Amino acid sequence: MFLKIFKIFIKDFKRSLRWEIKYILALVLIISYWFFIVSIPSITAFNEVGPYKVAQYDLYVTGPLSENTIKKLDREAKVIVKGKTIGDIPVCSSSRCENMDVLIVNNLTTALRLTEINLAYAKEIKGNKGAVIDTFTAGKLGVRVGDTLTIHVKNVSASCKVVGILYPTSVTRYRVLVDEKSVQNISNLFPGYSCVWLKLKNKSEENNLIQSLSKSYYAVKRIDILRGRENMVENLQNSTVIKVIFYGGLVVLLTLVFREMQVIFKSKLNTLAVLMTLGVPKRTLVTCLTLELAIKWVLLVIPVSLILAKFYVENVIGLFMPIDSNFVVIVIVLLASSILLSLLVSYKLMKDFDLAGVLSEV
Amino acid sequence: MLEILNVHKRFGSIEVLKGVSFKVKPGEFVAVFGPSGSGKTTLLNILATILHPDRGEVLIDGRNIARASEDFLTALRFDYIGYVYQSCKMINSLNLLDNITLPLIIKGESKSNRVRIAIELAEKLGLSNRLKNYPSQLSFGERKRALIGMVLCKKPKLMLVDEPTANLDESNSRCVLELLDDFRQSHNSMLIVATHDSLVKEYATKIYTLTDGKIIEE
Repeated sequence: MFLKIFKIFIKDFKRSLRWEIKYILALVLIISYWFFIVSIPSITAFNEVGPYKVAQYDLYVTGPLSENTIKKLDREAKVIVKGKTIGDIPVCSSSRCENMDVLIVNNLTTALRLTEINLAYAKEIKGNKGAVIDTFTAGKLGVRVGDTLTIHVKNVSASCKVVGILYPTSVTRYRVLVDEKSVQNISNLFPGYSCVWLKLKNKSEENNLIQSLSKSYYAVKRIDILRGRENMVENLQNSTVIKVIFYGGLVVLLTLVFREMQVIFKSKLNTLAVLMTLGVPKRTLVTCLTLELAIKWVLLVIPVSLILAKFYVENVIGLFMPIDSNFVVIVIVLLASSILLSLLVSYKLMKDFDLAGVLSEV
Repeated sequence: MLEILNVHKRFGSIEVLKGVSFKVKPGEFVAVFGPSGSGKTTLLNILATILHPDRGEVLIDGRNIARASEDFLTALRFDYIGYVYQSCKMINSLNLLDNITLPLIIKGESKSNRVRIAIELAEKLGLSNRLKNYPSQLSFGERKRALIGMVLCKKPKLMLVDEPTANLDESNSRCVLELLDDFRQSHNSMLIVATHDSLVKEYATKIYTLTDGKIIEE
């Protein structure tokens, strides 16, 4: 009997789809924001908690490979990280590399000072090959500072050590800072790529570095962004704030579940009244009501909210949002609480259901 | 066998039923007349196990349903009782065919059987050309007839019908009453009809009048 009744509920849902979609969209917006908030600790802890999920990723490669070499290739390469082939990647030619994600450059001493890296790794670099990549790319590839990145193009292989991970900025053309020699190389290759080069004789010339940077609009902006991010990280790492937002958000979400169950119930008064008059047990109806909400949340609200939150974090903010075990636990807790609450609410509503009153309404 | 013994029902300060008692035997057609607000619908709601009486007993085959468990009452509604309520509410997301055969859907009857039964009933109820329509596309009278069809599908032992001829012309009223009466006779069911319509008197085997909360046999 249960399945037969549930089919009727599904038909009811389809009939009120237009209205339902509006409600679901509102829920999705609120929940995706909450997901964003609860995932902040993971996002800010990026450099400490890797490695991350290895995924196929479009990696634009240039640097040690000359422009002519690149042109000769079929624009396909393999990227090998930690011995694993990540997949075929497109290789870009000079005119198309404005939005590259990985640069392989020579002598990254200067760049390192402006990145989030652990300088200890910098000392290990003995060769001329190193890569600075942004957090998003690092997350996608599953690499951390110190990992070796091998780019294999046809019969040519180029290995480099990841020496820096940058927080990407909205100024996409300003992801990597390099020394003069590299600037010359890169500028020649990519006219559209803005490079700032700094002459530093040794590490102690920090004042010179700051002064030099302040002369460049991009550099100043870059520093501002980094400082802004540092402040943001400090604020976000305040656990009390996170806890308040987390639990506050949970209360709001559960209120939404409560409200949604009331709305579902109200929209189904006729259906429930008819079915009860025909002798369908209340517990079957309670189960159907709960199942409808659960399916809606599992298939629609949670996945869409998650996608939206991830899209926002990775494309608007520019950080990598990991779906780690903590996050999965949070989602499961949210789902379980929602389903339990909806079960209780629908049970209470069915218990107080005024069948005679509903049937007498013309 | 249905026995109603000294049933009282009060809504706030108004006592709607003041010691109503009567008996209905299998195969009887009982018509309950009375002015608006006299408590006819309340009486049917009590017999349909939708309302509980404040006092008194309602015995169905010797068992007092006024004190029965919710599970027992649900089972009664499922198997024993068919109730055509006044508001004619139906499930808006189902077409008429599915609404009429809803009791059969719940019982897991095959679709071919359901379609056959629905077509037969719809023909008798004058709804043959409406089977694919949804409740919102039907008039009140059509919905009333469809609801009667839905209840007949259940083949209940006790059939309760609130104002079966409301919003129907005489021809359709006769058609509905004959259908109900045929069903009663062929299934030896108890049929209780609450109505204003004097046409029902032609079919009823017993007539009661409910006035001022008390019932009187004519």
